[in-house]
Amino acid sequence: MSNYQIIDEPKPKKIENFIVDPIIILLASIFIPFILNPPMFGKYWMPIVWLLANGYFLGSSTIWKEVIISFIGSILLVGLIILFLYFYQNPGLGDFITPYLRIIIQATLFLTLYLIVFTQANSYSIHEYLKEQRDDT
Amino acid sequence: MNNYKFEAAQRYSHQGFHNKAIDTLKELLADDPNNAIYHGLLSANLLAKGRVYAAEYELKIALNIDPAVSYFYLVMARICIFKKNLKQAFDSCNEALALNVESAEAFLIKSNIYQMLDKRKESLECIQNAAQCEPESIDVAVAFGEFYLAQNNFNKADKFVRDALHEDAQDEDANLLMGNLQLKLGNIEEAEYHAKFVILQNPENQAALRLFSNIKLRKNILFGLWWRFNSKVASLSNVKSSLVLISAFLIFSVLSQIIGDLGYDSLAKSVSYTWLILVIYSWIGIPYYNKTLKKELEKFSFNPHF
Repeated sequence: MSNYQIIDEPKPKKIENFIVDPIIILLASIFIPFILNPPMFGKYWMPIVWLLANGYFLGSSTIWKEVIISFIGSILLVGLIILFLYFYQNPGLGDFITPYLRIIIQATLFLTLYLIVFTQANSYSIHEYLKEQRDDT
Repeated sequence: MNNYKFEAAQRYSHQGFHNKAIDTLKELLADDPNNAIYHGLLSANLLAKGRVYAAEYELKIALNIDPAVSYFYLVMARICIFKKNLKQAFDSCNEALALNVESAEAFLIKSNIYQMLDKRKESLECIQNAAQCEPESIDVAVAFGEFYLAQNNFNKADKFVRDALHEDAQDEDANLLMGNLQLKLGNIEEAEYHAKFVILQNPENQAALRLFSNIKLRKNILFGLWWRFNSKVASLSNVKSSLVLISAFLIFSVLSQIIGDLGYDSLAKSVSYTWLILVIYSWIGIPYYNKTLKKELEKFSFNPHF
């Protein structure tokens, strides 16, 4: 068994069993809000936290990139939510703008999630390949 | 032992089994981490798997250990082409040629760059230079074939591709070129044979997958469009995939909102669900497409007639 490590190979933590396919997290974050609404705006921050935790357990080689995307996405989301609440409390122009702002908030969330998921997916696929090899030997 | 392993790695790399080549090179590097050639070949294989960052890193190590190997600059040129940095790719080819004036591969990469810039005359000159360095090379014959196919000179393209296949009937590039030529000539069955042959050798060969979807399109427009859509989606980069799905979300959501504002509530609801269908499709559709492709390839059998 070789012990040379290529730079983009993930270095999984001991709690490897918690690692899931990032696509599963993405789909869960899209469909779960149809069934139940997590408290404290959970549908906005829970998937991001879950993805970051997944990246940490995976030992993702792109974890810092994922953290930066999450950080920028979260700042944008907070700004948009504040803007939404402002218009929501001010009827008139707000009545017209709020539905579209809601769409933009959702789009920002999904874009952030997609970017993290696709970045993490490379590490995940290498991890799966290496795990398969480990299981074979 | 290491020589034997290195030969195996070179063979895997040449045959398109890049994962096997990577694994073997990792074993070799565990024993001898300062071998520049191992790092260089590892870089080329990582690039073939689309792992550009790692490829660049390994090449940097190789060049630090030994900057006077012509092959390393060819790998660098390929990395630059992958990153669409054609000027630096061109400079790397020149550096490779400065170290080895008879590098046919350097001339072929230069020819590719000229082709991308639509400079046909210069491209042909480079292939001719490569032919002078290695007159019997399959790669040179394939390059001539590709050049003439792009000019729609089918007779000349046919001659060169047959020469290449005569030298090695299993060569990936020669088979791909033959597939493209046969499709242009309207020989669908032959084109399909060569496309399948290449995909079986290297399931990630995007050009072969594109050829296969074009063949399907010729056979049946609707099924062919589905095939082409999936092959296109499967080959998109991460950022592009994200942008496509987000654009779809924005279009459907805004459309649904406008329709709702106009008073057509039930229609607005159906439009908003279209995006969800797209998301479900991106989850189920692509794996289904891969399964269908696998099934088609299972039916493939080598035919000496071709």
